[in-house]
Amino acid sequence: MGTMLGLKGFSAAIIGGLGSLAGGVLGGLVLGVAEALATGFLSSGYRDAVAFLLLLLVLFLRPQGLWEGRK
Amino acid sequence: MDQDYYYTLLNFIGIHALLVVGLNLLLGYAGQISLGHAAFFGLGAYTSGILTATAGVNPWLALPAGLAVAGAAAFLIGIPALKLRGYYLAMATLGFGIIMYIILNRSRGLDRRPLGAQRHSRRCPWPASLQHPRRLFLLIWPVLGVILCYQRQPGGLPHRPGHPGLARQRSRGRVSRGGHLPPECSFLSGAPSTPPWPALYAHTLNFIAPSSFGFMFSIKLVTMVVLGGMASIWGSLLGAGRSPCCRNFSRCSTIRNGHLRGILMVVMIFLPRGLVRGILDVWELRRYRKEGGNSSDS
Repeated sequence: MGTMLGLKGFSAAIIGGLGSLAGGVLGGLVLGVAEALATGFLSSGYRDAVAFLLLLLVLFLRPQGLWEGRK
Repeated sequence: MDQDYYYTLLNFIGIHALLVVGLNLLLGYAGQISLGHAAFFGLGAYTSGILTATAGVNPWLALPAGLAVAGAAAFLIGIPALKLRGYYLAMATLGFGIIMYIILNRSRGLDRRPLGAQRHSRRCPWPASLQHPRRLFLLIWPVLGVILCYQRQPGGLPHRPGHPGLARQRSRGRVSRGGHLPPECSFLSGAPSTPPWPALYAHTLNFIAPSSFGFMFSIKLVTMVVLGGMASIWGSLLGAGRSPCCRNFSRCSTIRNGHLRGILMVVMIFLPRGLVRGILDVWELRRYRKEGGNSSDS
């Protein structure tokens, strides 16, 4: 029940950068667009995988988030 | 037949205990949460299951193959992931777990994808077939015993100081948990030390499906660690044994499902270090007070 939704909300916050409001908005936007693109170009089954791959990439390459969250 | 049932039940408890001990190294001794252990488990189980059932490899060779694949995966994901700490690490491992789950669910190479593969491993002449629950029991429990005994040894794992005041501070969360081992060390010993057991899982069940290795299974493993007690090796055994026993021996469905989560909540509130450590802490504190220690020196 909504587990995936909650997890993706948290991923969006991390992608944008924890601790910044604008980062959360940006993270959500990036995540949503990436998912939609993955559905269109890959397959709808891999939608969630792409979302979490994005999360992994951001965590490994830029752990502070795309929007420079508070350190 | 009835005997086989109990052997199988014990085998499941043993396999879960092995997994929980591995996760306990990371959670209890290093203080880091990994939510991706089910993925390593699944990788190992799939490797060994496909090797034995589809390729007809000897199960005794498939066991180390499962270990190698899952260990390599843990090593590769560990290189970037272990730079992270706290919930960043938890989210990274969780992401990896979900990606692996989706890949297992979707990839075409695996038999009948989401339905899983139900195959009996072929008979192998050497040295013994792993088909019978009793034989598996004789494999799983001695291994578990060796691991438990090794970790009780002085040189095995660092032990927590037995000072009750410190124990009490810890139990109230004033002193940060863990920190005895660097996470790198325990991730590498914890994550790859779990995967040989999924191979056993595939042999015990004769059936593997992606749904056994989803996100909820990772959560369940963490729950087992916490319930049994972090950094408590015997607690792992208790935590792992609790769920299959309750599910199989209680006739009442409330006990089976909802009630036990209530117990988990109560344990977390009153005995935050788990059942085994928590009860020991209470006992140590009582003895400490009886010996005239100042109870308010925390």
